[in-house]
Formats: sequence, structure tokens, C-alpha cells
Amino acid sequence: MRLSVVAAAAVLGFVGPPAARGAPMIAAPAPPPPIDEPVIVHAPAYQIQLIALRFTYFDQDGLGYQSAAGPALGPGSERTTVAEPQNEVVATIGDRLTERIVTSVDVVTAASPNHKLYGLPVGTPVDTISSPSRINEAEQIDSDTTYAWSRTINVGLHADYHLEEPLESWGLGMFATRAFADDNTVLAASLFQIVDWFDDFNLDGKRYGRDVRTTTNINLGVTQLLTPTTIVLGSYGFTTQGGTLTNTWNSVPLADGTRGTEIVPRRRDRHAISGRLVEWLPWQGSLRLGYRFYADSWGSVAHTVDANLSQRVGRLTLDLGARYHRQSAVDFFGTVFDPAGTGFRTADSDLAAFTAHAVSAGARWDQPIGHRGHQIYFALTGERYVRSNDLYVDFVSGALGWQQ
Amino acid sequence: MKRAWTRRRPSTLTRLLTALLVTALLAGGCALVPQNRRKHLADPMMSPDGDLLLTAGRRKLYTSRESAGGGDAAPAGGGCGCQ
Repeated sequence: MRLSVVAAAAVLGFVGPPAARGAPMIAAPAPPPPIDEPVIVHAPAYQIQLIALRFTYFDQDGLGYQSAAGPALGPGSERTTVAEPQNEVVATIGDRLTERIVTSVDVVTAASPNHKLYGLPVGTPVDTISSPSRINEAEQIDSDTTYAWSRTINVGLHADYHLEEPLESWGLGMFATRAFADDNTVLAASLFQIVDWFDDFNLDGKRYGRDVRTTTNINLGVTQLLTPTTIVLGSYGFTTQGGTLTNTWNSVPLADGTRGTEIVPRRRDRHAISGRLVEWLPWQGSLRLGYRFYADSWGSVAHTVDANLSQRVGRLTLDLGARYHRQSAVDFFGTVFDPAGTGFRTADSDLAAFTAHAVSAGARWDQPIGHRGHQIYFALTGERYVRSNDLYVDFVSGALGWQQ
Repeated sequence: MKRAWTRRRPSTLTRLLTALLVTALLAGGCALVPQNRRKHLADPMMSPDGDLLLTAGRRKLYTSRESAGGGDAAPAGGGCGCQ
């Protein structure tokens, strides 16, 4: 009411600056100039949730027909060792943003030709004499950023970069989850794109420039709480690859006693369906059971089952695991080929028909520190992996971590 | 001339996909476990994948030595010169 009265007076000329009118009249006091309230903006709190260090050592031995480190018509050695330190950091930025960064380094023996030929003329023989070509290092960094869009929706971005002597790889991806029914059901979807860029060597170690391989992967999954002690998960994944799908230096035995180049299609489509059940056991334990079905356009079909039993004893958690894998060979697998043949051919033991067994055992100790719920942990795991076509891998892995 | 319809049997993959979709739709229709009864489900031992770094190392072991990689919310191939 007061405002409308003042406005009406101004329009009618009763209210105005006294100097303009020559005489003091009503002389209402001028309102003080508006002063902006200071707004204090705080940066979102950056809080580290987890730091983990892990070191894993792989020891592999066996024989495979793709390896030239043996008789011309027989399988060659697949002996190699890998030392792999890893680091993981998980941090939150404010209430909605979570960042996870993983870095890993692989030091591999007998891995691949020497990348130091980059920039040298095509056809330059690879260095197979000095030690650099017998030890290879690979580095990778993975970053996952998750944003809590709402109470039920999370969206995220993935990026990774991989570098090793004959290969560079870039990966980008996005993922989203949506919770339903009071978080009893969570649907997940993800999409990834990877580009590999690597040197093309022939069997004699000559370099023929660069090759490219692309991988596109899409996944759909659902997680369901069934009971207060049971979780089930199901997922489907489709992957399509194009480009040079061999590592270019795999060889195949030829009937005339020599070795030829592996030749594989330039396209491969893969399908995988997996299911998993996690059950809480009343004696402070848990049981995980998984099954996975796989089929691809090269003719390989695989079934994999795995089981893992965990048991907590005070601050100690013990784990026992077992895995069984059975796969059929790709359509063009063989152990000896016609020297005049030009069709698809591979002798890669990874693409053969075989069964594989793995058993593992592990222990983890959780030690609370302070009064804020922080803890450190130590973990040690060992596994033996045995394939029916003459390959075994032993690995030992130790971890040290801090989390809150 | 009337064309005879031929009935194709659905492949194993189609059946599994259908089963997965139907299970997801049926299971998501109601709240089965209230918030105050999820104490055990929140235990770290109930994590489907366990330790993430260890799982990543294992996945690298399997995907680089078996043809059946990918599909577990992770791409197959790529990197490592692996097929």
C-alpha cells in the first residue's frame, strides 16, 4: 500500500528531488543505496576415500604352435614372466562427483619386438640381439568419473591410455546406472571405444609401418536384491572389432617345414552373457557363483563357471576360489597348413579348443586406525592357472591399502 | 501362389537374451528388501567383483590367454597386442 502511494505521488509530481522543485516540500529521506550481500562460495570438499598399492608377479610356461621358439613343425616356447605394480586412488569431490584413477606398469619378458624402430625406414630389421627387445614395459592409466545425477541415476565417463613398445591404445567410454524400486533393482549400460595403433612386423622382424585396430563394446546389465542375503546380477555384452586383428608376428607351421604368416579376418563380433549370484552365509561368510556364455563370429564358443568362498575370522578374511573354462577352436585353427594356401589360418594356442582350470587362495587383514573409521589393509593372493593345451601360469599378488 | 511361412527356431543366444530381459522386468517390479534389512548386503564380502585391482589383473590374465574375452562390462581385446 505504501509503495503504491509513493508511486502515485511521484507520477503526479509531489515527490521529487527538492533542488528540482526549488523548495523543500515533503522531503522524504532518500533510501540508502543497495548493498549486495556478500556471498561466500565454498569449493566442494575433496576427500580421498581409498589408496591402494598392489604388486603382482605372473610366471608363465608352456608351448604353443604360434611361437617360433621351437621346431618348425612343432610348438614353440611360451615362456614369459610379468611383473605388474598397480596403484588405485578413489576420491570424492563434493557430494556428487567420484573419481577413480588406476595406473599400472607391466614389465614383460619375451613380449614383442622393439618399438625403438619408430621413425626408421620401413623394412629396418628389428633388434633381436640386444636385451631391449627381450624385456618390454607397458604402462596404462585408467580414469573413471562418476556423477550422481539424482538419488537414483549415476552417469560417468571413462578414459584410458595404454603404451607399450610396439603399441599405443586410447580408450573412451560412458556409463550410466538407474535404480528402481527403492534401490532393489539397478539397471546399467555402458559404451566403450578403443583404438589401437601398433607396428606391423613380419616374421623376420622387418617393420612395415603402422596398423590400426578398433574395438567397440556395449554392455547392458541388471543387479537385483532378491533377499536380505542374496544378490543376483546378469549382463550382456557385445563387442565388434575391425582392422588388423593379429599381432602381426604370430606364425603358423607349414607342411614344407617352414613357417608362414598368421592370416585372420579383419572383423570379429563377440557376444557374452553372464550371470552371478552372491549369497551371505550365516557364519560371517559369503559365496559367489558365476556363469558366462560366449560366442563369436570366428566360430569360438565358450562356457565359464567360477566360485569363490569368503570367510571372516575377526579382522582376517580368507578367500578360496575356483574357475573352469571350456572353449572351442575358431573355424580356421590348425597346427600345419598348406604352403600355397591363402585362406584364413592361425596356430595360436589361445584360439584352440581347450579347457582351463584355476584355483586360488587369499587372505586379507583389516586394521582400524584412529577414531574416524579409517583402516589399512594387507592382502596376499596366489593362483594357479592350468590349460589343457600345455600352458600354465602361476601368479602371486600382494596389496597394501588405506580407506575410510 | 501363397507363400509358405517358415518358422525358425530361436538361437541359444536369443533365448538367453530373452530370459535376461524377462527376469529383469519381473524382478524390478516390486521392492523386495527394505532399506533396514540390507546390513549383510552392504558388507564388503558381498561385492560381486571383490578387490578391483585383483579383478583387473585376473581379467588381463584370462583375456590374453583365452579367445573368449569381453562382455563383462569391459571391452574385449584392445591393448597388449592381444586378440
